[in-house]
Amino acid sequence: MKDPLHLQGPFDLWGTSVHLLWILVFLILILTIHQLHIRTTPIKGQALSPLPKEEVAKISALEFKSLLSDYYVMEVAQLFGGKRGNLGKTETLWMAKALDLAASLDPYYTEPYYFAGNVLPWYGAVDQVIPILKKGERFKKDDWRIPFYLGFIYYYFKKDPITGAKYLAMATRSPSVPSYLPLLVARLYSEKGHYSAAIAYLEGLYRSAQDPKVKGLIKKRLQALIIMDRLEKLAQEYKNRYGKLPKKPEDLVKVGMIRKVPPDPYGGKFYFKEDGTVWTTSSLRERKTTGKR
Amino acid sequence: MRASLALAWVTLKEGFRERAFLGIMVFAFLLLLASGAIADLSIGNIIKVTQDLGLATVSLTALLLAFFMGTHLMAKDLDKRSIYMVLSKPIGRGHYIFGKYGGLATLVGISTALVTLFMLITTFYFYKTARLYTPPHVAWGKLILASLFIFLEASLILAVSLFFSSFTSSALLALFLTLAVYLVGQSTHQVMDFIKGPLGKKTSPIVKGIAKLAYYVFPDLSLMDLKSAAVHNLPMPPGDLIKAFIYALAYTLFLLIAATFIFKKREMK
Repeated sequence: MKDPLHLQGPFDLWGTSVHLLWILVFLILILTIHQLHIRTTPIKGQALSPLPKEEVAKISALEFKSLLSDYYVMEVAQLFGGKRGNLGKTETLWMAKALDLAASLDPYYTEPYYFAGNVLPWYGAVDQVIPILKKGERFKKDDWRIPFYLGFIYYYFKKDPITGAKYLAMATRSPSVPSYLPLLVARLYSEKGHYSAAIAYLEGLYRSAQDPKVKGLIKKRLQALIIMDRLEKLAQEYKNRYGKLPKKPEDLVKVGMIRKVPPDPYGGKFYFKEDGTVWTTSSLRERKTTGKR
Repeated sequence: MRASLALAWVTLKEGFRERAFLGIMVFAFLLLLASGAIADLSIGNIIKVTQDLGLATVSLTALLLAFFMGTHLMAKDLDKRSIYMVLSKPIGRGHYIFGKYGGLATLVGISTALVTLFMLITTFYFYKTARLYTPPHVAWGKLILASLFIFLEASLILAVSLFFSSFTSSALLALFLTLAVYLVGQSTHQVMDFIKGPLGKKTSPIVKGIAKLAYYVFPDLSLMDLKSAAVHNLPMPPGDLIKAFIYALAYTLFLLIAATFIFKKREMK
């Protein structure tokens, strides 16, 4: 069979390969210099490189998707470092998009989630960060930090304690969770008056806790919450009977609804807020800090 | 069989003497040495970045060798007319193809093993010297397994390059065709994922048909990509590994048999 395309002429493959290798080395060199440059010089009004669509990036990265993901995280880190934390809206949105892209390219890479969850909400990119973290939550089920960040963002930035508590509870179910987190979550539940939810949550936790010290801590908080829940319900009953809320827990003793005001296991004193909810001067903390909240 | 082995041995020796081989290897070692410095530009778990760079280097080395050596060494035989010396001996053309392939695959295998070893050493060095609050877990065994599958992928690409070299005398054309197969083979799986997803509703049925055809005709190279699973220490079900292994082996064998068939029909000038 003759060569149909007449491409048989002399072709210097060695020369071509050397050229290709040089181009490759040159590209890497340029990239390194570029990286070092933005690392050492603060950026002033530098145009941000356009980011490709997720689909385009995924296909064009071939089998080097994780490498491209690393590259975007590096870009974000360099930009953040170069700006020394003084981010404008454009940069924040660009970083959110770059981190979203990095997370799509390598969904098991934790850094895009941590950086997005820790840094970007403080610069206003709350709605952009939530989908990134939700993506991470799907892929990294054992990582307590991702639902923890989500919980915090909902609680603090979105002013949505119910969703916040849901994600925080999710974080506490992770096997790697630090021991302080469950107690913190229960406190968040109780501060909003969701005592029944907090009690149910802590009871579950008490049963599953392995460490006797942690078990003791949970038991104490549980005792306090049960009392507070009871007092709150009695206050409503008082209102039904006398047409007004009790001013202090002692009012319940006066009318004979309870024999005495139960002591706070944390050493504080229970009191009624104006809306009839119960809190304590100890703030459910071991040591008294500033007294009344 | 003996003839094939002898030919493989000659090809291997010839390959080691090629300057392109040396160039690719030097490039790989330099890249691995630089991986720690490059990873340092990132944040958090830089060992992950070092591993990504290391495995990408192994992959790039194996692929470059498969692309260049596969097309080059066969074209050289034809160009320098040395193929007549071989074929004038009692060696079948099938033996020639399998011998050539055996030598080249051994060359790629030895190089992949060397670069993998160097990658493990550099990763270990950066792992020991990096200052991280929580030392990350490195799945050394999985890194080696990922390298093994990189070799498998490169062997398949090598068979593709021999297949194209069996009917075109131009090394450049064979190189471009092989590159095209690689690019399609790397993306078909991803494209199929997109078509099955929400994006698929907007895609025309013709494009979908072409994508499906490409998916079944071209080798699905993403099956052999264990890099991410190794770096993140994800579970690797043995069933999937065996399937990918058999798939690569069957595809390679099919290409070599097809190459032999075409090469037998080929007229030597």
